[in-house]
Amino acid sequence: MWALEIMIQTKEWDLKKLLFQIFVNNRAVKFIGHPAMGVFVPPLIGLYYGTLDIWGDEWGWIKNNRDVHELIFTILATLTILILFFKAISEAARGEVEKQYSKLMESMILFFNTLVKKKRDRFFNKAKHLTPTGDTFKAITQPKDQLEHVVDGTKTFLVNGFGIDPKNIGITIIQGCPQQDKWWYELKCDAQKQHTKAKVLMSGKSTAAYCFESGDSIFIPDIRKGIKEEVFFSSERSEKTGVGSIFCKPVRITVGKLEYVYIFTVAVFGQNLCLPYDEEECRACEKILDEIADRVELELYLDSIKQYRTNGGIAA
Amino acid sequence: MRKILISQKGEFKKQGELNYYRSTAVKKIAEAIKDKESTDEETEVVVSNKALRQTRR
Repeated sequence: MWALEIMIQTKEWDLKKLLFQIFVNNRAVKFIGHPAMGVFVPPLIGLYYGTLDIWGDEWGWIKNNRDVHELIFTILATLTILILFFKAISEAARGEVEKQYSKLMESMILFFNTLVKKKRDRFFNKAKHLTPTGDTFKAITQPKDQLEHVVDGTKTFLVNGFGIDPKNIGITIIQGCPQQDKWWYELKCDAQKQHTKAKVLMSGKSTAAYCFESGDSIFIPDIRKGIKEEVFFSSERSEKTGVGSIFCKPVRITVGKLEYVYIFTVAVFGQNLCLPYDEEECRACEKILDEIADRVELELYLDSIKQYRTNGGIAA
Repeated sequence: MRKILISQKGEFKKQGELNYYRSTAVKKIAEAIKDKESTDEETEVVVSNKALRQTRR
């Protein structure tokens, strides 16, 4: 039964992909849709039809070759109808993609802009109260505040851009002291929600543990694949929802002689961020998540430097 | 390095909700980001744990 379900789902996806290839994403349609064709071809065909209509009974090259012109007329008329049909579907599909693209782009720009705005506003407000002998770094650098903002912004981006249900999103930053085997949540996007204990995750076969050990970031578009390959820790939530996606990025920062370790995680439960077997889409999705993670990494640098200063160069 | 652990077609019985238009838009956005970056870090796509472990640093 489930094999049939997969076949239907796969077929539906493949059919959409095929239709998209036929009507939108191929050279012939792009050629037909080229602006130069729109300017050049219709007047030319119009001129030919007009000539047949007005001068058809008088001009020898028309009236003496009626059969040939009938054939040309039929071919041109058929092609015109076909091209109009293709163009109508192509424009409709392209419009839908453009709508999604604008939505994603707007969400992304909003995400980056609000990060800059937040920082700019803080600098603007703090600058007024700075003194020449005061601790400027402490006054203007608020990485925790900024990190909370990045995490909230990421959630908003996923909701608006990817259409993910807010209750399905889990974004966390785990911090740790590997030498002492101490791990804790530095930040959670939803503090009310129960998360698997950081230490349990880091000592088990979890995505975060894999990232920490390998030093690589990882994107798993389908958490079931992660469970199967033993790089995802199955929690009560993930078991209940079944499908989902996860992205993890490790950040190791050395300040003085101390090393600060963080694991940034974006998890989506109950929905997939992308089609788990479409390599091109997975790469695209991962690229976007990596861009977000870069902003988080930047704030984590400041966070570690601030922690180093606050604790007087002693591990947290 | 950045890794992606993708699934194989038909590997799991149920798929999440899919949107082909969004998928195309996501690819377009990623293309736009890539175009602006000359030093894009390498991304490796793998399909198994064995491959994940093999390429570890």
